[in-house]
Amino acid sequence: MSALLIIIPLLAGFLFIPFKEKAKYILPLVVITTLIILLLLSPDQTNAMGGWKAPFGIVLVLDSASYYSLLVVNIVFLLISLMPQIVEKGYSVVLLILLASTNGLVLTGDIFNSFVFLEITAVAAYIIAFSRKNPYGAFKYLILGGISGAFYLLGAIYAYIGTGSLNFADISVNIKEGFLPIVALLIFIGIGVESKIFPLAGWVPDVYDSGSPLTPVILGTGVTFTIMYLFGRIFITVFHGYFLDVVFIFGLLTIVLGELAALRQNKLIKALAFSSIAQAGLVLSTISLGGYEAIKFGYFHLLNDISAKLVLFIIAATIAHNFTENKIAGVSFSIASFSLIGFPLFAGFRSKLLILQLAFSKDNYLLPAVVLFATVIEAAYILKWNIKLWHSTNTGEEKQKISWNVNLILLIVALLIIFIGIFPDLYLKMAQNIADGLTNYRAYVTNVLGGM
Amino acid sequence: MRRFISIVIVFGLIMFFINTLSLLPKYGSVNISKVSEAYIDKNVNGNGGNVKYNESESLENGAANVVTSIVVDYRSFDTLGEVTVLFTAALGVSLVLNGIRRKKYGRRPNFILRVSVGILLPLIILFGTYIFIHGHLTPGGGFPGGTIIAAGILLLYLSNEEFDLSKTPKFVEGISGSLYIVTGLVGLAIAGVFLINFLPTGIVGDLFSAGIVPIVYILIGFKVGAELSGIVADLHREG
Repeated sequence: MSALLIIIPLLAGFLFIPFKEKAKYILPLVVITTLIILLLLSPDQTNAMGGWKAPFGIVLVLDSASYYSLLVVNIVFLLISLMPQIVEKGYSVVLLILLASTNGLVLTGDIFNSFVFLEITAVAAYIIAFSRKNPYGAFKYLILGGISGAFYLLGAIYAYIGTGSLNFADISVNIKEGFLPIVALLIFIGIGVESKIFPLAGWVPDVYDSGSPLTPVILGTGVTFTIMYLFGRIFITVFHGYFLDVVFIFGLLTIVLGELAALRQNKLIKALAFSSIAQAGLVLSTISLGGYEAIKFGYFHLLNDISAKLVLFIIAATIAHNFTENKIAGVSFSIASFSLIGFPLFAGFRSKLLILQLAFSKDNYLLPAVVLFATVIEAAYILKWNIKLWHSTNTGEEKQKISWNVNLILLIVALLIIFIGIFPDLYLKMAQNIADGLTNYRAYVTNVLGGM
Repeated sequence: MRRFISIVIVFGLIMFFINTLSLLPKYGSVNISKVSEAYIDKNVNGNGGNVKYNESESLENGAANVVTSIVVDYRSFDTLGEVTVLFTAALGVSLVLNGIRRKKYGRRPNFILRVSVGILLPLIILFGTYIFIHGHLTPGGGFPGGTIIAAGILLLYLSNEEFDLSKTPKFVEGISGSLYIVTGLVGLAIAGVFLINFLPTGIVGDLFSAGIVPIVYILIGFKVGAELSGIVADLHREG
């Protein structure tokens, strides 16, 4: 039944294509329906599409990792669908397709199927990234995404040659000697663009600065989370942590270069885009430390990051002049930005502290050094922007008002960030379930392939 | 400097791919994998085996064309995804080009084009329809068939400046795409499995065989034809 999570948004998207403008009314209903279906489903089930059993056909795997990832992604979509002001005219259909493809990406247990959903996600993302003011950013993203998609497909082909099937579980058990490094490298390049890792993240600031608040919000929260989940699914469940040493190095480089670039920006949204790159690097390098705890804390930090970014991007893209007239939005912004730095009492503090403790307990001093260095830079530019926005006088530019529902949702998310900072159990439990599902290789294989 | 880095990266990639060649099987001596073998013998559920054209009956999958049996039956869910990729691309073209006014050339196309459209168009549409109706028997199927029909629509646009499809492609693609999903949902309602082949598969090689495969391919043909026609219409509008 988990196929319904993909099919319902897709069906709604197909039906509403002649009436693109009306799709914004159906979007919240569809997201609520998928959330209800998700809550009714129980984890630990595999569904074979078309009735063809595991190594032969396509299976959708719902285990504790994909269940909680779906929960996060669908809640992000719900929040966005409740703010129709930030969605441009006609773009709700794209969001419906994007919802179907992100759900598919999380659920699928087949490497070629994941490529197909990655393509849909990418094409929808190019459309969302496009705006008339900024066609160059979207074009750059299109080229980079297209090439990386080709690498992902090549990785899938090599996996098929090496295994004889496209099933994740089958690949993890049966891949032949010598194929693993090739497949790992190709797939790393393939999802490197979407997961914003250092040499491939050049598109991010241009695209996030497209002028529409929808672009950074959806790409920086929902899509980022999905891609990070896919990264964990492939590199931890399928490859059993192989290749993570290389990812660790690239993750550290991403943190340092992302933060340094963010410091130099004189446009708020670009600074946040670079900070988003750096945070992705931090999550990837934490996951790459290896082991159950590292994966748990990595996803915990990712949850904190997307909560903060949801607030920051909407406010940065709508009012980036001053906060004295939009006090509620200003307070939400400040809370989210302090969480990003990791001030005590805010959510970001909890995850950064846990990551540092873990790295020290593993005798790894490189990651703590980089994280502390990054935090100092982060604090510098976040505080600079906070002071600038709270103290600037009205420059006579036209006032952009934030409507009450956007304000309310942002305030709720901001309060959630404080709540997590004091009682982190809610997010920690989700991250723990995701880490459980990802690291439990044996249960995954038996679930998919049957008793072996 | 930039050029130098690009050359280094490209050279590294070439070396990488040359190194991987040694892992690939030699030309002509591939061991067919277990999955491919099961697909060819129609033996995934373990009751297939020796498939004979025009004789074997009620196999797990009745398409005579092996590619079709994989694309529309064994891995039909992927095809639903691929259809969605094309759908999203067409949607993107219409959103990106939205609001651009149609340019008029104010010139009649030449005589040969106008006359030959009348002769060629029925043939093109007939050929396209043949390709997707016989997709489970002969090479072809919904994607090439739809493309051929869209080529006919392109001819109409070129030969007549007043011609406009307006919203027809959107309705056709929306309805055929939804029917594809509904076909899958019927399977979910009958057997509890999405996209299951719930119709009898008949004798391999008959026109009326292979269960839902021809139905799905006809829907894909309409959908692809409508999407590509929509792209042609949108691009033609750009002045």
